[in-house]
This record gives sequence, structure tokens and C-alpha cells, in this order.
Amino acid sequence: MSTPSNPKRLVRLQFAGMFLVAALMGWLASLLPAPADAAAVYPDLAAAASPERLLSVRQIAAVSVFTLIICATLMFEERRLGVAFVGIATLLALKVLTLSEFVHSTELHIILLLVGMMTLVGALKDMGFFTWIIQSIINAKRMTGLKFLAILMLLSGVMPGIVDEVTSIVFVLALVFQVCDTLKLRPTPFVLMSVMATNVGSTGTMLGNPVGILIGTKAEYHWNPGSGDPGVPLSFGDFIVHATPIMFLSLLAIFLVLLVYYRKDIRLLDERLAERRASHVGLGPMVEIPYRRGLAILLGALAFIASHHPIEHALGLEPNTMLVAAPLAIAGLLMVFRSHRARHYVESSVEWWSLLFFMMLFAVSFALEHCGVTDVIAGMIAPEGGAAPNKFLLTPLIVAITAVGSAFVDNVVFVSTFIPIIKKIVAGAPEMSPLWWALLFGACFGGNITAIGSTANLVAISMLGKKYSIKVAFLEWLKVGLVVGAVSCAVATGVILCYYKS
Amino acid sequence: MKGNSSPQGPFPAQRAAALPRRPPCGANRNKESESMPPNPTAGPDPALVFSEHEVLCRTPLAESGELLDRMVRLLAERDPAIDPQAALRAVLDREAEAPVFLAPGVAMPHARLEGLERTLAAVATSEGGVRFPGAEGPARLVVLVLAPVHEPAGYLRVAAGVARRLQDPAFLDEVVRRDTPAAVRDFFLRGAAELPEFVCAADIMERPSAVLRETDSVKDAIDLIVRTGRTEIPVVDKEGALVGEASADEVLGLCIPDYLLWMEDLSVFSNFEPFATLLRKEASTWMADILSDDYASVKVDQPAIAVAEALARKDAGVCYVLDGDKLAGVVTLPHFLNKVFRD
Repeated sequence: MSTPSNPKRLVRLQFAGMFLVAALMGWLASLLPAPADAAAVYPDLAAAASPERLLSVRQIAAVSVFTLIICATLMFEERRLGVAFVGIATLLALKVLTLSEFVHSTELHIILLLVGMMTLVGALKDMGFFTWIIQSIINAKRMTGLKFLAILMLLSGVMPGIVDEVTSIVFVLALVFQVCDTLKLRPTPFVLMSVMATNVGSTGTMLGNPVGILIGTKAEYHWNPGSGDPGVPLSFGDFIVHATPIMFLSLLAIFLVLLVYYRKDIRLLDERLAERRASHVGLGPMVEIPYRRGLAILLGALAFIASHHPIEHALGLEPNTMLVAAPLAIAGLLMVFRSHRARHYVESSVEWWSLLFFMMLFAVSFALEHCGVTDVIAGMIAPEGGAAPNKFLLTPLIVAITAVGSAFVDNVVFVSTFIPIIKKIVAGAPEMSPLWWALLFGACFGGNITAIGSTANLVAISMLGKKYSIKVAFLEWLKVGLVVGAVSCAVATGVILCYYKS
Repeated sequence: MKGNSSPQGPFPAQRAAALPRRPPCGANRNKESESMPPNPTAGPDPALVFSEHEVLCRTPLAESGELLDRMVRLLAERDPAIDPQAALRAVLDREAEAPVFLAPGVAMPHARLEGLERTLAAVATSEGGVRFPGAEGPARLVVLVLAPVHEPAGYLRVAAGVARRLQDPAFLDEVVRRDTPAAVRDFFLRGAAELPEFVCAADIMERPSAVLRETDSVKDAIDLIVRTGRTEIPVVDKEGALVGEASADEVLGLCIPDYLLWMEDLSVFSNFEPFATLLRKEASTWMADILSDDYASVKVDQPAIAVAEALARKDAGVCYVLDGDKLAGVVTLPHFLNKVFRD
């Protein structure tokens, strides 16, 4: 069959394919058994002439809408929010969700946390903090190729944990472009190195990736599995203790892989830097940037956020209350004191498009859980009444499934769907709590496998295209992405297995 | 040689002569068109542009005003749509705006007229020469062209055809030597095959007024930008091949990179601090730092419309005209607009 040359015809074909896949998944959903607590979830089932059929319709609707959103994410980035809006409207009309359930399930606290952080980042950019970091690096004395790459990878790895991954990649790529422009180097290898380190680094703290915030706030982690204590959400400190070391180990591993993979480009970088050093010419202007205020605000904000757990404990607040309140308070203060820029921060620095999509996605994931679909999947992965879940089997399985899934679909989609499944497994076997980490690392490291695996990848590709008219071929990315994804997932799986308490 | 302002040949015919000999633009199309019905929008047929009646052979008139008046009246006799007084005024106005000399001894005054349906020409030869106000020397060959206002290619094609005939150094002497209008017309028409069916890039290009070498420094580039007032300057290698473009934008970007623009307010650098680094190192900063390969270019024998396309697609202010990979000329946007709308 020849490829349709008419773009409108292609879109129509894509839509037809999308609805076909959604219909197929809907049919599969119709085969699902009804959950035991269906009547408690949907009181109207009792009055229905055929309760099983009504429930089945709701399961079909939830699965079909979820599939449509996944397909839209894959095929129509610019239409995915529209599809999600229509999907939610359908779920409301079919009573899969009530209005109050929808509002509750949009996870407004996570969205507000992200709004607060994005506002903070906008202000830091304004105040020259990021400019100062870039300038300090490009004007560093005795810069060599290896030294520059080590700094680049470390910066790409650490920054997403402090700001978010999208801000981090925009900022790091400005550095890459400056160096490549000045030294007349092919930017693609350095862009790929930065974005892969960014995806790995986004797991380092709870703030690095929306996935981290989602897992941290939704997790029910049993720190003492045998004690019968209830599961608790993860804190910023838990991430620092458990996720940060894995992030650094994985970062080191992929750094070594990339050094070998891009050795020719790195050798050229080294030669060009040596020529620059010899002629005593820097890589950019050297000016005094007033960075201290920005640095103080960032350090203050990080200290405030990092100490959310003890503050909550002291004030008798619910877990993670201050994790949301702290960024909001900092953003609010910045908007009060920099009132002339307040509108700019809210309107331009906050990624409303992504945040609205996340809200719809969270609601659809809730719908899947609500009508019992995720319970059934969890039962398939770890059957109730069967043998005790095997950590050596389940940990790599969860890492692999989420990694492969996140390689093709937004990792928030995957994680929000998998959270109820992990919750169900851990509720039955509290010693399997480290599966929460498996979910985090699988979802984030899998993003390195393909060019569409993460938001950071898409931003990087778009920036590369806009500035240099360079397109990164799917296979070009896949070749290096598969190696990097496999190595980082292997490192993470190995360390997570050490976190189990039998 | 450090970034030089290369002397610009004042005459289009000199520019054309500087190019290697090549088949005339649209030559193939001419051959094709022999078997095709005449296309009313195809532009001037060389045989129809002027007849014997519009040739003043060895004219005794020595002043351009008198001669042009006579030539306009000849054309008005051929086409009643021409108002002689208005046409002469338009020719003189155009002459006052831009030089009419195509080459030493060859003047080509012209005007675009409302109501005219096709391009018409009148030719005058003079043994003693005709004086044009402000011109250095007299004209021995005067070609007056009146073109329809809505047909930009009309005058340009005649000018391109005459310019190509002038590539033959003996042409002027030969044409002045002819002693009858018929002989003059026949001599012109002998080169009719070279009258282009379309105007090509080489016909509208100018010699680059400023060129940099790839071995020059950023200091040389800034000097040349400041001296010439040009914001884009071509950079060539020692063989004359175009290797890129140095631009004022790139110099500015070197001082104020994107990441500096992230800051809300650059007034903290009120003493031009970002420029100080480059100022200290400009002589030792390589041309490569400001060299861009994202420029508009066309080949010499491409139709002139390709210049417009390249300028528009690249959102550029200048298009480089290449002969092979060598820089043959440039077409700036104002020059292009002048050629299409005013010339």
C-alpha cells in the first residue's frame, strides 16, 4: 500500500487506526470478570436490570478512553489534550466517574506542586542563576573534552532533581549549543548524551520528574514489612537515601557507555578545545552576573522542601503536606516581591498544556482502578492465593514492562496505570515495597530507549530541529538508547534487589 | 588580503563580461519554444522589440535630451498608446534616479509606462557620441526601452540581452560602423538567439562590494561591517569558493549568546561588559566563530525568480550567486526589489 501523500488523509487513517485499537481493547475489556466490590463502587448497579452488563460497559469505556489517550500521545502530540478532554467527558456521561470523583482524582496537589516549582524556575532564570552556571562552565580554565563531558553529564544528571527535567534540558542544551557553535562540532551526540543523563538524573529526587512526585505521594511503602505497620507515602528524604545513589551509579554506567559510543566526536571536541586553549580564546563572553540572590533562593527553597517531613511531623500534618505547601509558599513570595513579573511566571513559565493533560490522565487512571480493570491486571501479575511474589522475578519484570512501555508512551501514562497494580501487589505482600522503586526507575530509564520516550527527549529533538534543522532518525536514537536503557535498568534492578527485607 | 571591499564594476555589462562564457539563460527553452505556439506572456520577441523604423543610424544629435525626444516620438508613431511627452518625462525621471550607462559608450535609458501592451525599443548610434547629463563620457550606442508597467521582465530581458552582446569587445565598434538602419537591426538580430527567454540570477546580480577570507579574524569582519554598512558579508576561501557568511547578527550573538538573554534585564551590563571579552580577543578570534552556513544562494544560470525564492525561504537580506562553488555576485533584497519594481 502506498503511503498517503495527502496529510489530511494520513490524519484520517491515523484516527481510524486509533479507534480500531481502542475498539479492540474495549472488546478485551468486555471479557474481564466483575470485581467483587463492584456494588460498593457503583451503587446504581443494584437497581439495574443487568448489573454485569452495565459494569462491563463502564470497563469497556474506561479501557477504550485510556487506549485512545495512549494512541493520541503516540500519534498526535498536539491533539492529545483534546482527545483526553473528550475521553473524560465520555467517562462522566457514562457514569464511569462522578463529578466529585473526577475532581478528586485529578491530583490537584501534584499539579500545584509542579506549578510552584515551575514558577520558582521561571524566577531563577530571570535572575540570571542559570546564565551564571553556563558561563562558569564555558569559561572554566584548562577545559578538556573529558572534563567538559564529565561536567555536562553531572550537570544534566543533577539539575533535573533540583528543577524539573524539561527546564533542565532547555538549560543544558543552551550550554551544548554554545560549545558546539563555537567549536563547530556536530551537536547531536552531545545533545543525546545530555538528554540521556537528564532522564537518568530525573530519578534522583522526588522533584525531578512528575513520575517521582506521583509515586512519592501515592506509594504505600512498608518500611517494616513484618510489623503490620500501614504503608506510608515516600518523602523527599526517602528519595535522597534510596533513589539518589541508584541515579548516580546509573549515571556513571551510562557515562562510560557513551564515552565509548561517541569516542570519535569526543576526540574531536578535545582537539578543538586544545586549539582554543592554545590561542587563549574562551567559548563565550565573560561577564559578572548577579547570581547570588538566585542561588540563595534556590538553596532556601531546596532546604525548605527537603525538610518537609520533619516539619509535617512537628506540626502534626498529613505526610507530604509541606512538600506541596513549600513550593507554593516560595512561588507566592517570589510573585509578591517580583510583582512586575508575576503574570509572566504564571502564564509563561508554567507548562499548562502538560499539566492539564496530566490531570485528565490521572482521572482516567483512577477510572481504570475504579471499575476494577487494574485489579484484574494486578491479579495476573501476582495472583492472589498463589505462591508468594518472587522479588527476583517481579522486580526485573516491573522494570522491564515499565521501561519498554515508557519508551513508546509518556511515562506518566504508564506510572499512573501501574500505581494501583503495585499498590495491590504490595498490599498483599508488604515485603514487595521496593517494587515502587522498580516502577520509578523502569519508567524513567525506559525513556532513554526511543526518541519519543520522554518529554525531555521531545524538547531536545525540537530544539535541535529548530536551531540546526537536524532530525535525529528513530534508529539512530534506538541504537544508543537500547544500550543505555539496558545498562541503566540493569544497574537499578541490581541495587533495588538489595532494598528488599525478607 | 584582509577583508576587502572589492571594487564594484559600475556597469552591468562589465559584470557579465567578468563571468566565464556560458550558454545564455533559457537557451534550451528557446529551442523548445520554436515548436510551440507564441506565448503572449512570454515577454519580448527580439524581432518585434524594434524595427528599422526605430533605428537612428549615426545620429548627428549630440545632446541626450534632443535624442531621447526624437526616439520617444519614433516609438509613439509605432504604438499610439504612447504619449510622447509623458513617456519622455518618465524616461528623464528614471535617468535622474539611476545611471543609464550599461557599459562605457552604451546608454540604455528606459521607463515603464501605463497602457503599454508590450516592450518596445529604439536604437541610435552616434560616431561623435551623445552627452548625457552627469555622465563621464559620451554614448555611442543608445538603446531606449519602454516597457509595460506590469511586466517586470520586459526591460530586464532586453537589458540582459544587450549586456550579453556587449561581452564581445568588438560589438560597439561594429554596430556604430553600420551605416543603415537595416544593417544595425540585422547586426542586433544576429545575436537574437542570445536574447534570453528569462532573466537569470547573473543578469540581476551585483559584484560583491565586500568579501572576507576564511583566514581573516573577527576583527576584520567587524571592520568591514562597520566600513561598508553591510550586515551580511560573504566569506570565501583562497580559490574564491563561498564557505559561509559572516554577519552582524553573528557578531552580536557572540557577545550576547542566548543564555544571556534568559535574564529579565540586561541593564546590569550598562557598560557593555559582554562586548569587552570579544573586544580584547577580536584579532585572535577566528572567523569560524561567526561563520554561518545558513545563507541564501543560487547558481548564476538559475532564473532570477530563484533569487526571490531563496531570499524568501531563508528570510535573508542577501542572496549569493554562485558559479560552480565560486562566488560570482550578490543580490541584496533592496537591489532585487529595485530590479523588479523600479528598473
